[in-house]
Amino acid sequence: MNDFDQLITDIEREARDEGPEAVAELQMFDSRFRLAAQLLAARRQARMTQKELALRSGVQQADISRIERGEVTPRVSTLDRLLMPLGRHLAVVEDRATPAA
Amino acid sequence: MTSPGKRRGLDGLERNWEIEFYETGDGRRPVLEWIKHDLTPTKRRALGSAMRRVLQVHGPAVARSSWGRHLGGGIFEFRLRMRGNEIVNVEAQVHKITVHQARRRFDLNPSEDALLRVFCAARGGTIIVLLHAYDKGEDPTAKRQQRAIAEARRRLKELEAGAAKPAPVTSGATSLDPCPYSTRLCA
Repeated sequence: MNDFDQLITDIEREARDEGPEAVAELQMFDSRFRLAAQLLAARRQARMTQKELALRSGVQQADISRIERGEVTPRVSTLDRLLMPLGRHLAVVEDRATPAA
Repeated sequence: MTSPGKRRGLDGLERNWEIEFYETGDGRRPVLEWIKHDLTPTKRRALGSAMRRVLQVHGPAVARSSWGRHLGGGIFEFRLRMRGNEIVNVEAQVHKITVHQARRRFDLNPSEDALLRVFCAARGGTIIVLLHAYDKGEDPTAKRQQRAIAEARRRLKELEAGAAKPAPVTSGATSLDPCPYSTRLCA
């Protein structure tokens, strides 16, 4: 395990020691940032600007920007509208990594 | 926990970056220490998560998004903005206290955003070295930013010089100076 993986493990442990609210907070960050990274990747693969995606999805560009910065947790209906023009859909996937015990 | 080494993102991205910390000659890792000791738990969780989910996946390409920018000379900035009112709400919720109590206990100002800046360099196509970091929200001056970037550049130069020389230099003497004392003593 390298230093960065160790840091992530320490942060997860710190949250568990702090309590359920801290664990929920970390999960919220993880969920938002993972989504942000995946949406950014999908939009780039489709070679679309935020403005073009806004036009084609009907979601305001300011909202797309906030989602891609991980500042908000979007509704499922918003995500559906964003993903359709990108040729994607929401899916439930299995974690590759086993969660830290 | 994922195992170190090559990983493939679930989003189909082929590139996955290893994140490493710049280490000083005496074994200190300033960015790791800053994350562990200077940040509040909430900021630590936010930055750790952002680096794992965004920086580790996109690598230097974050510089072409709102997550960062190129600074020239092989250095790019990874940034995380957390709105002040959001931090106050989160702290209040986590500690089961009122927003007012959270503001007083953690000395938080809802109009003050945390602007976490991490200066990075890509090395060898698979590694990102975290050179330097600070919270621009705490000191938004241009002077502080210039100083931080200059320090990041100095550290990258030192890394590159170190990579060219296989033998580490003993402490006290610089690599350019074969004589650790005055020129007269070694002459």
